[in-house]
Amino acid sequence: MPTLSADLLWMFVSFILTLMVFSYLFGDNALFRFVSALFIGATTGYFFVILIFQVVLPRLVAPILNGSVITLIPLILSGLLLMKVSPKLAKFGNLSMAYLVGTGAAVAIGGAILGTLFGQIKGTLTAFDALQQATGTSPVFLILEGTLMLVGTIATLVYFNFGAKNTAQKGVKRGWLSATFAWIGQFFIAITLGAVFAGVLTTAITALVERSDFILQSINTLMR
Amino acid sequence: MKSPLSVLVAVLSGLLVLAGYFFPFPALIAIRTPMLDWAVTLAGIAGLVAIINLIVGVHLKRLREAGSKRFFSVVVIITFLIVAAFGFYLGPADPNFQKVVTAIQTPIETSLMALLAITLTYSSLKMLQRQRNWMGLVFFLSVILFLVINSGVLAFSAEIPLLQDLLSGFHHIPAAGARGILLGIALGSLATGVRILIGSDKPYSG
Amino acid sequence: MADNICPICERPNDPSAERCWYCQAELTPTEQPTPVNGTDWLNGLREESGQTLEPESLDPTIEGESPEEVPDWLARIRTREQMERDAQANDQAAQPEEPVAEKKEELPDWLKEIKAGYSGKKSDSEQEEPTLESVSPFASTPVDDQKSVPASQDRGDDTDEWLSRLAAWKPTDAEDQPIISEPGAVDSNDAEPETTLTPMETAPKPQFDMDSLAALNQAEFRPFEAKRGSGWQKLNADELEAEQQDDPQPEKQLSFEDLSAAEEELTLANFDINALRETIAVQQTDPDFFSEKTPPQDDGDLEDEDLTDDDLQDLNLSGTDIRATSSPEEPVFSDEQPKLHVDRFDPSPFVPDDLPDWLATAKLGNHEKPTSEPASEDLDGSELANEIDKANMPEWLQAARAPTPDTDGLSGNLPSESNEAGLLAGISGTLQTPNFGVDIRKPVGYGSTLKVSERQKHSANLFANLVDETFDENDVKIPQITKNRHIIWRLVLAVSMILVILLSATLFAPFIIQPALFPPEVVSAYDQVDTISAEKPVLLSGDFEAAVAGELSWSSQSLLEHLMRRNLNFVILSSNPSGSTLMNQLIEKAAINVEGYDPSSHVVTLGYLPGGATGVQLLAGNPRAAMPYTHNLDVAWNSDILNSVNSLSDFSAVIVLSDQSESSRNWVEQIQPGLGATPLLFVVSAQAAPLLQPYYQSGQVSGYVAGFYGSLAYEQMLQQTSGSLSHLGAFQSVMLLVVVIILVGGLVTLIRPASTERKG
Repeated sequence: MPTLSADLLWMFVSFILTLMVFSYLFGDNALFRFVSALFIGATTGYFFVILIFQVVLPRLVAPILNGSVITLIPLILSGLLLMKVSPKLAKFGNLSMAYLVGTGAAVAIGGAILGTLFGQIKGTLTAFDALQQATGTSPVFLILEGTLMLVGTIATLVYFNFGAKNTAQKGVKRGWLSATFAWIGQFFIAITLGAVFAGVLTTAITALVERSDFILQSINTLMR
Repeated sequence: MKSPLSVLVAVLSGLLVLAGYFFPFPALIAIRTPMLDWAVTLAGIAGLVAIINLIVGVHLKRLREAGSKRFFSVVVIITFLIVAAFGFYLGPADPNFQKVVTAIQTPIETSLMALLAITLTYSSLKMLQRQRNWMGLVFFLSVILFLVINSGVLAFSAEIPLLQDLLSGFHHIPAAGARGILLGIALGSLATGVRILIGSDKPYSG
Repeated sequence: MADNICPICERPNDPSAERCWYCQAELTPTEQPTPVNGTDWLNGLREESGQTLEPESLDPTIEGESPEEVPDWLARIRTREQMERDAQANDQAAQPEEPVAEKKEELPDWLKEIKAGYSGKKSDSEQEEPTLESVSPFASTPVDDQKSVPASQDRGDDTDEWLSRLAAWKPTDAEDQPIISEPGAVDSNDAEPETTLTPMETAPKPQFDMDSLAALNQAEFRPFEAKRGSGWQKLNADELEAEQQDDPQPEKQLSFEDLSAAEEELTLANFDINALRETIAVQQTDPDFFSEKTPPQDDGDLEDEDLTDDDLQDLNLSGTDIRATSSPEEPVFSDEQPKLHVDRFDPSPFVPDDLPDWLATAKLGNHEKPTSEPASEDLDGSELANEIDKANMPEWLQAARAPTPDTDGLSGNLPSESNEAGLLAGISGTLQTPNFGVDIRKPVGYGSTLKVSERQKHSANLFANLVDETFDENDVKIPQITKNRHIIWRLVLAVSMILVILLSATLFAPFIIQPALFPPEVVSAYDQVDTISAEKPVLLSGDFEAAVAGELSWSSQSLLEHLMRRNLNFVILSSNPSGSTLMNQLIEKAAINVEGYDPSSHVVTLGYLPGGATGVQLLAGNPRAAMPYTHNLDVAWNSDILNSVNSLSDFSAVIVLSDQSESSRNWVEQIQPGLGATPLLFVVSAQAAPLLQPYYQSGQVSGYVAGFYGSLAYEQMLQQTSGSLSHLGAFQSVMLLVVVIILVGGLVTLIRPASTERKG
């Protein structure tokens, strides 16, 4: 019973909070702001505890207690980074930020080269290899599919290239070839972004369905 | 040059980590692994800094100022203190403490996402009002098509081969555009990362 | 009289001088006594005037100086001398010279110029010269205000008389006074032996015979004040005003003709013309100079008083601005009212009875000297400043200026029109100088810190409050009608959508279309899960926010159940602080539908992995270093599940639950290159699916389940029914409703293009 009561209590809390959020449909009001403030406070409190227990203690405190001298480096860097809280001492945290930024930049470069560039270029070329993999689809369609992928990829990349020549008569203008590919790329980008927007809408609608279902269940449970 | 030490640290650390991607030497990996570990630790500390700044630098400061937002700042601070106190007392693995996520955070965030569905639908009514051109029309039609596809009502097309191929083809069109976008993102990340590693960009100074 | 050569700089000095005028070195006194009247210099001048000037004397190169060091006034003097000598030489050849003329011609040119100039024949430009470049009686060379106006022979007698009068005048103090002069000027003078004024160059001190000067006109002349210390005579303000009223001639200059008979007693030897010249020049530039605060002395014996730097500054020895430079902290425009001490003012001894117009019309007023640094210890300039009465600008100078009303008449009647303080103190007819209260000649120093006044602070706070209040209510000012319309439309949409959801279970149940098409990525995911090894654990990474927890809960349900049915062990971590909690919730929910599966024994929760892509890269390189502890702070890698795991390839599969395409991309980029044969699977939200598809098509991702529909397809493949199917009706209904709404809205927008233009 206590457990059931606890679960019931938490369900009731969730139900109330859901309704308070939906009150935004009537416009911005104090209820919505209150629940927003509650959300911020609860989330930051939870995050604070998680960071202390799962970052500070296992990565800084425990190694120091175990005698790891090299842990002094991240400890010092962490101390410098904490100075970012104070506007006067914020400049001392630049060293830690520099380390973070440098490391992050290197990770981004490595991932971009090895993960996306090599993989996607290879994938664009191997689309034509599907001819050798008989999957039941007509080869003509596969070739068309591969060509579509290749043209679409190149056209999308060309669209994001905004280099142009400065001609005396016509002003700044792209070359005809890049202008053509850019127009085609626009077409592919519009379709892709349409698919992305449809996906966002689908996710939101799924959340709406899930919340509506939760409200119904909560009402049913509370009424029992 | 402002703070040359910071630039040196950023460049050296970046080069060492980057070298580990292409030269998996044991000595290099031995240096690289703790460097990544320190970066991960610092990322967590950065989260701490953000939280402290939010509570102390924003909401506590707002308490001293006059205005209607003081009440909500009080709510934030009180909630933070209560949750943090329970967290330190119970521990993050305690199921009761995890109710903060399952009973408070998840319902609120999911409800906000549900609200987003209504708001997005309302704003989609005037989609063509702002982009009255061919690309706007293509975007509009693409949204309609993929909403229908995502809903699954075209499952009956399995019995119509032509429709099935057509739908399959439609799936590849966004893939082509997405691939171009991903390549563009990768190239942009590459350029930005290189600029940081050569010291041209210094987002950490000041 | 032989010059006293300085042992240091080897320049000639006045025989009576104790210190060298140039380098201030001590001089051995000469045996020759200084003439009583101090007219050796004049005798010397006369001797030298008889000498034929050689053209080479004018050549600055012979003097051993560079042309730049020769002062302008000296150059002009030399030029005129040369011209006059040439003219004289021609005249001598034509006419016999009379003794008087000879005598007259023997006079130095500068003297002639003074005589000519004071006779009113000077040009305007020449008149302006003495204002700034007047030289003291101690100057070494004749000033450039010596005009080239040729003196007529008719004025020769007058010259003698005037000269004799001046010569009789004797300063009270002229000994041991440091002379301030331009080195260049001094050097140039020194190097010109033919100049008649050579004795003057080396005479640092004038020797004025007050008695002789007093002989000019006993009635008009008052001796110098002993306190003055400058040797200059004080003008009697009453006398000057009387002269001005009697003979107000604006452009009449002081001339030698105006001297009375008493001047005959004076000899040229006793006359210090430079002193007179300087006095006149100073009076022109500093009308307050003659304002003397000290009472007049009846004693005719004037002592040689020491000249201080302050006085010398007034005398403008160096040709600089005679206005005393004030200290930086002192205001230029002083608030002090100049004090009138007209009754204390005594005229100069060499000023004749009938004063020249410019001198007679000089208005005496309170002289307010700008506060300056003390020039010397001997004399306090402030005392002088308090004692000097204010004087007015001479009429000839006023006439040379812009046409203004007779300020002489007005200045006495309208004292408010004259500046009583500041740079233009004592000069009547000028605009009132505003009192800034600060010394504008020196920039005000500002500190490096920002100085904000209280009013500015108040204004800034007011502005900040206004901004806060503005954003507190509404981010954008929207009309109430528009706001209400938005609210109504949102309410209508929400109600309709929720209504459809509620009714779908009953009304739309028959119209539900179950999935028949299985996306290839879902099929691949199913195949991969079906073939992974059960001996190795599965790494489950939760990289999603709580907002999509509901959707991912539906999307991942079937896949998790599939894994549980294969009795696989899970290792859970999250790159989101709340991800591991949400993952545990998903597993607990899925475990309910799988009998015999105990999450506590099959699941290890590693906790939160910060750093985003950096953390994932660390995990890919060394998972043990990335996550050393569980979320309970237990050592993770000692457990049975993780005991055999050293790298990511030791996992049977890596399954990532993600809601963002960016986080999915991070996992693919960082993890996939080092996975090897281990499959990388994704369970993503519908919004992340389009950008994950290229990775699947390139083979980097083994398979993925996207959205609610993907999970339904996975369920179909599992041939199991779960809660997802029960929600399919609601899901499809709402989706179709939204499609219809968007379609209708788009068509209406296309049909009514004018609405946009109307609203502008």
